[in-house]
Amino acid sequence: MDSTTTARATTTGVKRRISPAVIRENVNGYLFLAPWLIGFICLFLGPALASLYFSFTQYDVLSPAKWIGLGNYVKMFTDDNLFYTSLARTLYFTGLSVPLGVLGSLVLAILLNLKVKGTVIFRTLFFMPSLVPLVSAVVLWLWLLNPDWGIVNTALRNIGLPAPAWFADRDWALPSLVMVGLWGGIGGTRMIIFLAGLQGIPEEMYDAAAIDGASAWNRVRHVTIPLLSPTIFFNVVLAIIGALQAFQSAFVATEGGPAYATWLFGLHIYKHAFDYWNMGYASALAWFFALVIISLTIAQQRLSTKWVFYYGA
Amino acid sequence: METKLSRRMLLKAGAVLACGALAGCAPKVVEVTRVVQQTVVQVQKEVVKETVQVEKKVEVTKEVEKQVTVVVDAAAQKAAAMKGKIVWDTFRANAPWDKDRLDNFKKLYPNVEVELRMGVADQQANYAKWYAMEAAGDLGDVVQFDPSHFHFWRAVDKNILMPIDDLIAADKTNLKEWYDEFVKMSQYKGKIWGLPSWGWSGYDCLVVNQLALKELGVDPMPDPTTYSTTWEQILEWINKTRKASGDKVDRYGFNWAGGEAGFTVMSRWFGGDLINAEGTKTTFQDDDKALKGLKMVYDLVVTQNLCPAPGALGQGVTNETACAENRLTMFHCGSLCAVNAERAVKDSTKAKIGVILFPKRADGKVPSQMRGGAWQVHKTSKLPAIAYEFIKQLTSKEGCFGFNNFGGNTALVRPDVLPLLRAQIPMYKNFEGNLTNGMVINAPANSRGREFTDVIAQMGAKVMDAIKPMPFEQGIKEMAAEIQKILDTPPA
Repeated sequence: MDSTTTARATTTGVKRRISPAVIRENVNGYLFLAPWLIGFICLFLGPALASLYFSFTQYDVLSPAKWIGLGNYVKMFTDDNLFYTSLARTLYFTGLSVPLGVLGSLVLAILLNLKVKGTVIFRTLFFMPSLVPLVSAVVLWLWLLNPDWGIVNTALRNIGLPAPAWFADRDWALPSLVMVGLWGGIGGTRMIIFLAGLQGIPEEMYDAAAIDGASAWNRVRHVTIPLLSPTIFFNVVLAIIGALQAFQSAFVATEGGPAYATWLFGLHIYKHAFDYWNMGYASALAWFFALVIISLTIAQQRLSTKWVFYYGA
Repeated sequence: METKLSRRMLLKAGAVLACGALAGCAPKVVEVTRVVQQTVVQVQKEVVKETVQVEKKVEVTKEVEKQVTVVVDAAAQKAAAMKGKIVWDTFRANAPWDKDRLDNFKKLYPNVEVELRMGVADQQANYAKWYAMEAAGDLGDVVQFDPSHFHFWRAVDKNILMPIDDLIAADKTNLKEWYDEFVKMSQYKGKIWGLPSWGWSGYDCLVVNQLALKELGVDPMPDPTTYSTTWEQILEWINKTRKASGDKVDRYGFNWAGGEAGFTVMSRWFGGDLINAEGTKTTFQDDDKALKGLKMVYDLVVTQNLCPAPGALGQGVTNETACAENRLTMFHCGSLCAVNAERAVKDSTKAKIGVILFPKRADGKVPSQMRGGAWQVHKTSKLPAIAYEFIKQLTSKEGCFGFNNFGGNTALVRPDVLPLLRAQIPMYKNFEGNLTNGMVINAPANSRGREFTDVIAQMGAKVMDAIKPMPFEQGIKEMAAEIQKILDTPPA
């Protein structure tokens, strides 16, 4: 028996004594954790697991759940026209709102990062729309985009441009919702996160690039963007998740109309859950969608190795 | 020679004269006496007869008094015996009416406590809450799942409500106190599930700004209760009262009613219907009578582009407001809208609200869709008799009248309330005929009313889309297929 074996035997044979102070510290730690932990288990994990079970049942809340196996999942792919419609609308909404939103926030953050006079005022002004509750913002935009009386169409007519019917037009309703989202989202927390990221880029990088003769655009392209890529990645992931979950604006502004033009997936789930009381089917829809979001996030994570640069890592 | 007349002689002569006179009068006196005697006998007989009758009446009255006393005592005993607490779940933010009903009930049933639980004011949002409460076993004793919102049938199918036939029979409640059609709306599976509280003959008229028609020389408007206005006249007025300068429309001639009720009544205008009475099949797509009404609106909205696009009247501006501001001549709605439009008139030089009732159908019915709700007793109520007494309070003459007075709502479900309302708002007189001759709602047999209303709203908007028009026949075909799909869904 060598010395290593002896030492291992000693450690396994003798119980390590934990001091009362460590126990007390652990208990205190769990006590501090408890409010969140209880909330997480009771309000999130529990209902989430329950909804997973219900997704395999026919359940209307008022009658006992009846096990139907994969019935709900089969139904969504084979017997629900609005499943594909709402999925397509949601992907369109996401495809339009995420690039515009992230790019807009980035541009605003770069502009606000310039050392010019009045930056603080601009930061405040740009941030303010994000403080307006979404429902209020939607109502405000319903006024602004009113086909006949709205200020936007009045301005468009005055400069000789065609004035769409916005929310009343099947083709324009979804872009109108995107517009409302952008107004509140571009200058919000995403911009602040970009700003923080920008301010974390070491000044000497820009100095070195300037000494090497890099133009302003090249400094942005070769210094700012690469060093900001982790922040961009973070914001893109959150923006995609947020856009896929969009519900409120469609619910308030159009209730999914006109003619299902804004029938987003979140609204489809809500309708089945709380209006039609197909709670089992709604649970299946929700779990399917959760899997879509998780898959997209994992895919982004994998792809990020190709374009995200962690400075100093 | 002086002759003296003695006292004796004088008395004799008087006696002779009197006897003579009496002898002369004797036959007449006898005759008069006989007549008087006969009359007296006759009167006596009549008096006796009357007396007997009066005595009988008195006896009956005494008996009735006894019975009334017994009933009053029984009611008082019943009221006194009624003890306990019931819970009233309601969504109406109608505090004065609620209080009035509670106070009144308390006077009648001092030993009963009623707990008022006010839900959210939006009815649709409230149903979700009530279903959750039912699942949690917390729903109150008195509830309201409205037929108009298609929750009534579902609530029955889901065993939430209690049939009240036995309570009605025990109480000897006279169901004729309410208009038949509203009582029918609470009947399902051969039973009665509630007493009507509010309602009107929905979507049965065009609400009109009479001053706009006056510009065309239509003054006065035809009396609506004669149902004499023709569709040709209506179409002419819609076209001629529209005012536009360039792209800007100053006054629209007409606005249509989207949604399930609107489409249903459009399809009923000329004798058709949207779905069958059993709620299992769409009927409009193959029925020329139904298509005639829908095509007429399609032409106005899509082909001629005469109606405002959604939101074109101004964000948040209702048809009632636009009509009251002379920016809309007429719109399809019902008595509730007519009264609201009248209330919305701020400037009498701009608008005077009237109504056109649709021409009657060949079957004599008024094209409409009765809308309304009833108070119901919860299936698991431990005190159903008290709950029933309470819903009687809510739906009584005073209850319904107060519902209008305090809340400004429309409770036209009782004939005895109409005169009171008419005294306040003369407009109501136009709708009395429709309350007895309206058409009931056809509900999906599978209790999929919410899906049904959604699909009609969405597909209806597609069919009547003036911005991206689609051929009428194609739109109708698609709409019918989508509605049928809902009707074919397994029961909720």
